[in-house]
Amino acid sequence: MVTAGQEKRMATDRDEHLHDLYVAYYQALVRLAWLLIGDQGEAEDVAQDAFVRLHRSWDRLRDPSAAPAYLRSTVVNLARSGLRRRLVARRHPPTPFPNAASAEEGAAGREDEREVLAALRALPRRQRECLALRYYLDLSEADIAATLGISTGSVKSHSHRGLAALASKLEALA
Amino acid sequence: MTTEERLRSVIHKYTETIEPAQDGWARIRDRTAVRHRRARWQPAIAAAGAAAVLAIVVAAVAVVRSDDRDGTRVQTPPAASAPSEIVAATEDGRLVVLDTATGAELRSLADGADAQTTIAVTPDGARVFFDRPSGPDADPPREIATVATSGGEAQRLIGGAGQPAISPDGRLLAFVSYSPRTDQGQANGLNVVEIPETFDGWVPNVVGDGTVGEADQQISAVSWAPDSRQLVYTLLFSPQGSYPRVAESESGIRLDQAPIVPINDGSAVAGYLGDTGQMLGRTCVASNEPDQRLRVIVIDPQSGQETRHLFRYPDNLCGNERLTSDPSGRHVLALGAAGLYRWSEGDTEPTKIADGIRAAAWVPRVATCRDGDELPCDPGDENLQLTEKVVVAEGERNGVGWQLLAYDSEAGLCVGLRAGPGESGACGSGVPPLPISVGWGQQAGFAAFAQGFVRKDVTLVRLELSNGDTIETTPVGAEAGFEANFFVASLPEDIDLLRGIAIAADGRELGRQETPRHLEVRDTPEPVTENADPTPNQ
Repeated sequence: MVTAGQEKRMATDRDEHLHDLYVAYYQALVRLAWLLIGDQGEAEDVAQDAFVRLHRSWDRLRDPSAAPAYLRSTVVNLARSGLRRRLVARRHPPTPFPNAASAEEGAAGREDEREVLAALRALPRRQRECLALRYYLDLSEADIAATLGISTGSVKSHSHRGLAALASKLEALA
Repeated sequence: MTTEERLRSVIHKYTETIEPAQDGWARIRDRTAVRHRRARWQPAIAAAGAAAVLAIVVAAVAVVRSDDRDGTRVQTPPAASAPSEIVAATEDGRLVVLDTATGAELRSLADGADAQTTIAVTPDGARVFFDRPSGPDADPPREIATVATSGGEAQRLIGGAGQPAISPDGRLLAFVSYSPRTDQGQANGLNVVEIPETFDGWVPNVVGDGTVGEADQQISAVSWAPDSRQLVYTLLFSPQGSYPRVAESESGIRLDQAPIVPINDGSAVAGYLGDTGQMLGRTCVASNEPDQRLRVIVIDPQSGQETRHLFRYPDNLCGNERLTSDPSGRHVLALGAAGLYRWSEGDTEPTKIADGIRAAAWVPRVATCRDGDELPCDPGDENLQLTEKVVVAEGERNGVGWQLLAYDSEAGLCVGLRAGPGESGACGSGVPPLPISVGWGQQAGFAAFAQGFVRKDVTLVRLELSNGDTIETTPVGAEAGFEANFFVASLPEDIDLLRGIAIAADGRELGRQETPRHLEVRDTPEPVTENADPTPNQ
């Protein structure tokens, strides 16, 4: 039996856990969403949504150590959501790529790098997700498979095809 | 440098420049806190008539929270609304429909129906199954009957049976069958049959059945799992104790051998908590105060442990109450000696609806949104409606406020344009090559914008403006369904009307959508903001 006091403590524990997760993972999740979507404001919304959903599902989360994986999966799923993307498009004017980091570089170099990101975002969804999880979060094939809910064989296949397509596109642009 | 190295390098270089705003945690807290404020809205919803529920929810949206971010208001809706109707059996033998909010009797379904212990309503809300006495001398004495929720004559379906339970997919009817009474008692069986389109000449197709081992054991609290495959029930007076058991509907196993869920002593399972996968139950605690004895709780079906306290029911007789969840698992009916009470997520305590009720069940909210429907329509899933329905743009023209609304629903994406008292729009994933919405307005950063959602195979959107200009743009983001959307950031300042929209695929015009008449405005456009983006999105 759970008393009112215990229930309150559970809620406090949940909020503290959630905040710890926020501190540890929020920035990376925003960046992951940005990689998949291309818009920072929307990426922040997606990451926040993931935390809100985790909050709702906390009681059903059997193992708190699974929370980061849950957040990752949710971010990827939400980044897929056309509705979310459409709804926030007006709140945050499209910002193709940040340019602060490349201010010291030549225009040609920046264009080159942007082409890499543009080519990544132009890939089919699964290939894009596999590559983002692999080369940004450095996830193993097994973790990528768990995040996307597909087999490791599919991860290998999507990653291979994605890289091949990327190489081909970049060659064509060169 | 290989492609992999190049990709890794660029990804890390650019992602490191993305610094989220500092208010992320505050926004998350704000949104999770909204869930706890739901109770504030219950009185408003409770006061509404059945037909007014949606309207009240929409109206409430406008005042709950306004997140003034970049000049565009994004609103978070209030509490989830309960189904608006309840089917109940009265003590005088009538089957009636009650208003969820007030408990008022809305209509009578069947006089003399004499419904007894259990009522089940189909997921589409169209039909009611209930059990009733089959006659003073009948043995077994119970039978299952059915009647449409629109009313009509009750039809006898299955003799010697009771406790009907309808699967969430609406396909199967589970019930308890009773053998003729003997000195040892009355044997029970759990049966599952397919529900037919029509009951005329119906020959039940038995999908699964099982009989308890002992005649004096009784099956109680039959309820379907969300997967429409498993059933939970409690076997009273079983040698192992009255623990809930979970049976596969198609296995035909002996009921007394179904796996037991080892719940705590003093607790009982009433059934599944809607589609949450959790179980609804109650636990009895020792107390001299009637309203402290009975707690309604959520039980984990795997461990049997209590995972959440929902509310207290003011009943002094633990074990006589019946608990019923709606399909969402957010609303519960509790019926016992103290009367019929309802409870909704966010409520701190249940609200009494009526006395003199023998049995009751929610009438599920049913989606009224269908392809091509005009708004307002009810997407049926309150969670979708209440968490996703947002005002994506709004403004005022000619003294009339307008809003572009959007929300996700099982029928697909619903969008609507609302101006003054009128609202129009469409829902659905099957909308033909036309866009399902176009809106326009102004916000910080844009002089004026046009926004629309189109089918994924649409390759070109052409906007025909009132000043004669034409703007063509390519939808982006096409992946599945309505993934594609277009966005034109800078419309000419001199337009006074976005006349319509033409959609093309592979260079061929597929159709056009005219601007809704009630949004035709011909006044001078609103002033351009100072931050207007001068770069056309072309």
